[in-house]
Amino acid sequence: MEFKKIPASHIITQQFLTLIRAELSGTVDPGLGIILKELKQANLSLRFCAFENYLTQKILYLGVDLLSEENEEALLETFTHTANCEDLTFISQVGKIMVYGPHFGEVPGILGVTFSALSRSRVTPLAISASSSSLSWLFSPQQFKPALEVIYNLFEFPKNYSL
Amino acid sequence: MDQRIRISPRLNAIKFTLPAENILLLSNLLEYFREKEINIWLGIAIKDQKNFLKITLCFNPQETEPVIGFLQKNLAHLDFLIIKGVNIISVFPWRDDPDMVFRFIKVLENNLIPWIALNTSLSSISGVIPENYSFITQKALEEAFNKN
Repeated sequence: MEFKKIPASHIITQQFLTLIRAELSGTVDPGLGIILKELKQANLSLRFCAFENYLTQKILYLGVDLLSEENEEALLETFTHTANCEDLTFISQVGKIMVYGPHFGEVPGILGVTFSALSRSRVTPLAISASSSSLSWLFSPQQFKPALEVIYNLFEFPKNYSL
Repeated sequence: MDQRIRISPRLNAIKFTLPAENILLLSNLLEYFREKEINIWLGIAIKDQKNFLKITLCFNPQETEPVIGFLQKNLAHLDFLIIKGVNIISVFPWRDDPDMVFRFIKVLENNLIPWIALNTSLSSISGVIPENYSFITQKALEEAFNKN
């Protein structure tokens, strides 16, 4: 059976991001506040955000413009001295792919299709975030290009669309 | 800038944890969702420091039985949590602004809302909230984001 590409409105790609993974106990503040204050002071944008709440443990994934070593050191320093902060990890040079389509909510299985296609190409996202109008993934720098190829093979963008 | 608050219909959510090396299990589950045409309203998969994938998926309540059936049949060893009756509450527009994420989550915490998961999309920030708390969440977010 011939595979029909999924229509999408547009794709946004961003490379050279830093993935900040933080684990906090109890409330997200002050741990999250410390990170976001540092981002604001450094005038950095937040490109990806996914939080999971497991009773006493909160896991935060923040994809931000590439952090300098100074930013990372400053964050680590403050973070390690804050009561509810359990772990802070930086993964540099990650890439983000976001595909947008306001009709995605009416396309059941879209997350499964993309995940299966990525798995078949041995591409494992660092993080996945899906809503009813967009799908976003973070990838390691090595897997960014292969992932982009998979995504372009799955989705069809408007004819006059260019990156 | 005017912000708008939107609330989804009543949904159910499933939360579970998988060893990251067993990502095939997640692939099988999502493939099953595709076969059964189960629509995922919100999905998050992120790893913790011990290399376990933490996953939250929200779907229509009428899809709950097949989802539980699949999990019990194929992933019997897996602990999962079904949360019946949640809403996704979103604030639009969101433009990569760290401050807005902080304000959003502070509103939830200040009002003791037991939020389940949170993510951002191209234009919004969304939280998965138990339906019993949806009204108070919506009111609190409206107050926080529409007063400026």
